Amino acid sequence: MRQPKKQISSVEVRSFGHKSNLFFNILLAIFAFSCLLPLIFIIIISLTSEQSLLADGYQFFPKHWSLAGYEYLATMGGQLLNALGITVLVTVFGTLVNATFTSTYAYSISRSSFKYRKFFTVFCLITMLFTPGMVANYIVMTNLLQLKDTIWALILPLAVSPFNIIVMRTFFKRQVNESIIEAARIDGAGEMRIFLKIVLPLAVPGIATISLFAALGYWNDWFNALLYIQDSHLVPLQYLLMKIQSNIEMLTQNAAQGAQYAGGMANIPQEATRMAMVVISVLPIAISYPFFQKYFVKGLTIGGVKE
Amino acid sequence: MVEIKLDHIYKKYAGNDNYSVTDFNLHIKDHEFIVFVGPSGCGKSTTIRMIAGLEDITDGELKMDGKVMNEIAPKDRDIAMVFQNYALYPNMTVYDNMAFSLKIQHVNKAEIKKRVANAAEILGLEAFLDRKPAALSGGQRQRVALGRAIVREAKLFLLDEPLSNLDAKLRVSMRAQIAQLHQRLKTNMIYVTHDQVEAMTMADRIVLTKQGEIQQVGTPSQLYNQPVNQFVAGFMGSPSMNFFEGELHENRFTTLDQQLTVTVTDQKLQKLRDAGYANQKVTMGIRAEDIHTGPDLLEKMADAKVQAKVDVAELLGVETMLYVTNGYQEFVAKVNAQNTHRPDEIITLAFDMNRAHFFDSQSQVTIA
Repeated sequence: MRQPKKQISSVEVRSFGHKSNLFFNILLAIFAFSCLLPLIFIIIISLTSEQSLLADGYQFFPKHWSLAGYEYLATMGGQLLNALGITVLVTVFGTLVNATFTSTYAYSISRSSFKYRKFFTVFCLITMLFTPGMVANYIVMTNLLQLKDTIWALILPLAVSPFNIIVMRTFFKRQVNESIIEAARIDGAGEMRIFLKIVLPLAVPGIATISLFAALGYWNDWFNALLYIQDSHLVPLQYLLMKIQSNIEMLTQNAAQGAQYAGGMANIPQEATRMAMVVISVLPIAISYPFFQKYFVKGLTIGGVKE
Repeated sequence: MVEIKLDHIYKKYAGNDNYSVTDFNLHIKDHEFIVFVGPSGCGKSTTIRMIAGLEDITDGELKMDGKVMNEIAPKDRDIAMVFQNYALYPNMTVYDNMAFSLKIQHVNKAEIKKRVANAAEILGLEAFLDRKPAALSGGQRQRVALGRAIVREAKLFLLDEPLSNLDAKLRVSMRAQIAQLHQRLKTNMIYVTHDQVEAMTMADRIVLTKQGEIQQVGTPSQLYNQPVNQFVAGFMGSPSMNFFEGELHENRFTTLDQQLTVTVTDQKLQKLRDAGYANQKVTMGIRAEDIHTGPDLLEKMADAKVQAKVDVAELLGVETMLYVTNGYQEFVAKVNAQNTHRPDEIITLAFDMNRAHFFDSQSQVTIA
């Protein structure tokens, strides 16, 4: 008798064998640990007393714990809180602005019914390929727009990101089928309603992704502040921390030269303060990760159309 | 409940040299179930999308109840459309999918509830109203898409290959459901399909198109029994009509390789002679079911007997499909399953010449 032909209609890996399962688990655990370890180490160092640091160097289990680094930062008190407030404001508002601009622009150029989509796609790509450079930027921001020492100087430069637009354009193209939009059009929905009620809910994972990029960009941005901000009330966290860092360095150098500052210098726990700064600047955004992660669920459009 | 007139409609896509739809003329009456059928790329979907307003009309006029609709937005045309890929809103429940258009029209809540419940009952979707489309099977999704169209109570239903993503069995039952729906709603329906069986079974009138041009408009039986040309004859019916290239000599039709010769009936012969095809090249067409092997029929059709070798015999239950060869000519016969034939057997078949068709070899137009 002839062997019946084997028919493979789909291939799916349902589970690994016991050994390979163990192997991959260990491999991934090592990877995860190597990502996490530096952060934990930094937190430990920031809590180590300066004496232990000087005597034993960096250690996972220091002999003496101390909050001196944070206490020193706390002496900045109001200024630090103010800077944190500015950063949070810029990050939240800027991310909203960025997500709005990016998703609306990307949606327009993703639809084949938009006549000028090619022009605007190229228009967007060009800014990715050819950046005008710092001088041109500076002149536009200060002379043309008169935005020096305003909060807008921190928000506008990052308000539109061409890379995110391209990401979202692809996302819209793949996730939002043309016929869904046509169905809505026949159902009587206008363009605005289609975008808000149908396209946007389907694009949540994509928007979460680009929002995260944007939020990170805003949170970590200190360069725009360096260029445009002199008013101490508008200094964002990253820039303030950078300033403190260089101040400490300056004080240390001065202390080495003149003995009169030596007494004051001994009170500044240099290393611990540095690490405390890193912790303060990293922790809030790290904590917000899980909230974004919730939206990174794929397959929202499954069931809407038959592929 | 609406009269639609397509008046010399043309469609040309940007960047395309040829017209996708050429000189499309059609008058659709009240309550009619019209099926657009044709091979893929024949412009049938383009036409229905122009009626919906999803595509611009390049030239010509689309009238509904006498009013020109060319520039009217889809939402103002009072139409409902069902798409091939369902096009449900994945983020909404079945209820919200169906209620979406009514909410936009600011229909009051009680009325929405009533209409959705009514549609759900017609389609057997009551149990699924709270589910999202992802949690439904293909057939259920397509019924939701139909439900979304029903609640609109629109004047015109457009269905763009609604069943082609379903499996064969489901397709048959949905076909019946849609036909029933048409009886019940009494709205105009325009239905696009590439499947001639769907067209035959559902349509009041069929519009058969090829490369953007209408070939024939008529009832299913008109298209089946009186095709205007060889394309229509070949497209309608399964298996396709058998065609034989040959010549007329006196009252006999003979294939070019001289292997097959049959007597043409007097009535057909008269028509052929009147049209000037005596002793000329013609194409003869005959359907598989008009070729017989039964002994009584062989006797009755003694002057149209043909010898042929069986290549393949497919038993379908009541009937057997015989794929046979005569000389260089291959053709199909659908015969009674009681007469068994084996591959490589030489058999005698009889052509029912009353049901033969003759076409011009060049223009493919029907002669008789």
